[in-house]
Amino acid sequence: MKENNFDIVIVGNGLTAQIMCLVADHCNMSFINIQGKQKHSKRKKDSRALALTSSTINMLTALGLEFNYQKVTKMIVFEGGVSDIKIKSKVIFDAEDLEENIAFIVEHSLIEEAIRGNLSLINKNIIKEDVVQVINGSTFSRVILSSQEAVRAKIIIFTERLDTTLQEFLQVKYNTFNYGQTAITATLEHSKKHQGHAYQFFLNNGPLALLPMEKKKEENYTSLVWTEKTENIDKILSAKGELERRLNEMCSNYLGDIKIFSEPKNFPLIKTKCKLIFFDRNILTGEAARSMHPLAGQAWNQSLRDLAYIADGLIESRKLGLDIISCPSITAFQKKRKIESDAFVDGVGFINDIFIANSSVAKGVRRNLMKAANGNFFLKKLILNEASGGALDKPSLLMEKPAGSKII
Amino acid sequence: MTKERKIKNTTIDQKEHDKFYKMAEEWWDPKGKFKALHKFNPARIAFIREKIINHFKINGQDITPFNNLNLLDVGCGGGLLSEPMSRLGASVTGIDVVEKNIKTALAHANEHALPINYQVSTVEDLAKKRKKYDIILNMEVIEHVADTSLFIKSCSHLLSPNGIMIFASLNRTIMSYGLAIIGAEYILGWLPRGTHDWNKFIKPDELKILFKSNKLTIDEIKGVKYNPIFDSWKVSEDLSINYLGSSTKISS
Repeated sequence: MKENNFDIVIVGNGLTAQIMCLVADHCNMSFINIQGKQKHSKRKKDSRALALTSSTINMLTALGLEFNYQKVTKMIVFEGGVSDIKIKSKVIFDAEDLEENIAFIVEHSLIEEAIRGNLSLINKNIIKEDVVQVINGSTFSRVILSSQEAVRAKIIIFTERLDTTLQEFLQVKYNTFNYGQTAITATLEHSKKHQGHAYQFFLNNGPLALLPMEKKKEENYTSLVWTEKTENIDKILSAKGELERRLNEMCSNYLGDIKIFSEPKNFPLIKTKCKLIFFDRNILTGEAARSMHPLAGQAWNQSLRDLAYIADGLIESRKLGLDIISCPSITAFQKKRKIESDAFVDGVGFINDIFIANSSVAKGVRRNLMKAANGNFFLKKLILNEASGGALDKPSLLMEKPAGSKII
Repeated sequence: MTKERKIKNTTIDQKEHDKFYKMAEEWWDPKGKFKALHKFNPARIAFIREKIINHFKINGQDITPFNNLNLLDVGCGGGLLSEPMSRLGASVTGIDVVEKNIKTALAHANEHALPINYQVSTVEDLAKKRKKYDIILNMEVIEHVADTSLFIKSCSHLLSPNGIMIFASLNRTIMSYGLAIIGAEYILGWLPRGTHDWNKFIKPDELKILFKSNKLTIDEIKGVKYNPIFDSWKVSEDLSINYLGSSTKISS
């Protein structure tokens, strides 16, 4: 049977896989997106909101995507501050004072729509089969599908966590840590205008974030990301009325009367890291490589950072006449990219630990840090940069430049 | 060229020839004896690309920007530079004195369907045939030849009047002895012991004189810096160990 050759095989069905298709198209590379058998039934519109960094906005703009977003004009971080819990410390990040963008909040579904509008050829490049095996070769790899057919590619990019068969076959090992927390997400409709303000409350059982959304051209919608101990989740979600009551009790000072606008979702929080994210002709990106605590809202930004490295690698390969897997931005994946992404995943986990810890040492550390940060312009800028996954040497797309533009 | 070949007035250093003969099968193994060269390759190709594009005023956006340019890769080994140059559109001739290297290079190029003209030859032999090339790649070869003067003289003869020669070598400094010999060969094991003879390293100023006496001028010279944390190489201003540069003919 004839096997088709591609530059890239993209495995996955989510937003990261879709952006990778767009990146491949941007780099004029041939690609095929293997979406999996079970996942192609028509999905419901995803109303979750994503907090994007300036670098992510730069990248999506460079890829030609246009969508509406809500700019965060001010972000206030509290220790305490909900219900009648006293505010023990706070840090205010004001975009105008800091002359820096804080974050951009956008609905998941709006990005999907923008991609569909931009990449009409995507349907020609889809296989709805599972990957069952990958056979590495010196010039290409063979990807064996559940239909027993195969495709060949110079590089295979996984965007979703590998199933156990593939983990075993490729000897991929995930190190996982259960936070014992679950995140509840929902869109809230409220009477008070949000004015572009985002709030993050560090509470005893985990952080609660309110992210301003632009919906129906009004400022009365907010995205909720509430982290609680897993043991308390059933009670909180036992009835819509109960969740609404709790949220009104906690946050009406900031949002006025609150109603739940979209069906709440919940997912347990697990930290995952993978020992190898680049091996043979395989690259693990996004959820295939890691999962992290949502308190900084950076998981998808980190996924796109992976793709920005790959984009540079694809152009390097073309400009330098090298095999893709020999290019510096690709070989950097297992070194530089892994170091920065592991440090970020652990750093975010550490912040969560420090804020839920009940010891007097932890309390002293967090309060003094918050106090020091609130009074220091440069420290705030540094925190903002680090919280958005700052890096010394960013790939081209993250600076809104065409991929691989560092090479003449 | 065979292993036994030994003649006078040649650039061939028999000891060097024998060293590379033993390693010839490992050229394309990125984890093998040429691991360091594989790591270094992207940085030097980026430099070569930039120099060629600027020199010939080529549109860098073309997929094959080196179309219509004939290129000579001197001491091509297994073809680590010849292949990328061919993919970028150049008409490539790769020469090496080690027959086994040429066999490895040919087999690999065939596997990738690259039309590269590989020959067992020396620059002085090619010069006698009055060949001319738009581009000569003279990368990490000078420090391995028996007669540097004859080598540069032959390269100069082979270079077209408007051509460009890109070169790379190792400086003869205490730093290079410590890092390129003791560090790379004896401590880190990046290269087999004895790959380089420090006494044959050449200082950039010595190279300038050698070039000038052969009607060549050095237009630019840069260092190459290694980042041990990220295990990567970058072009730098530090010439104390590895350096690379570009050279053109002095117009008479």
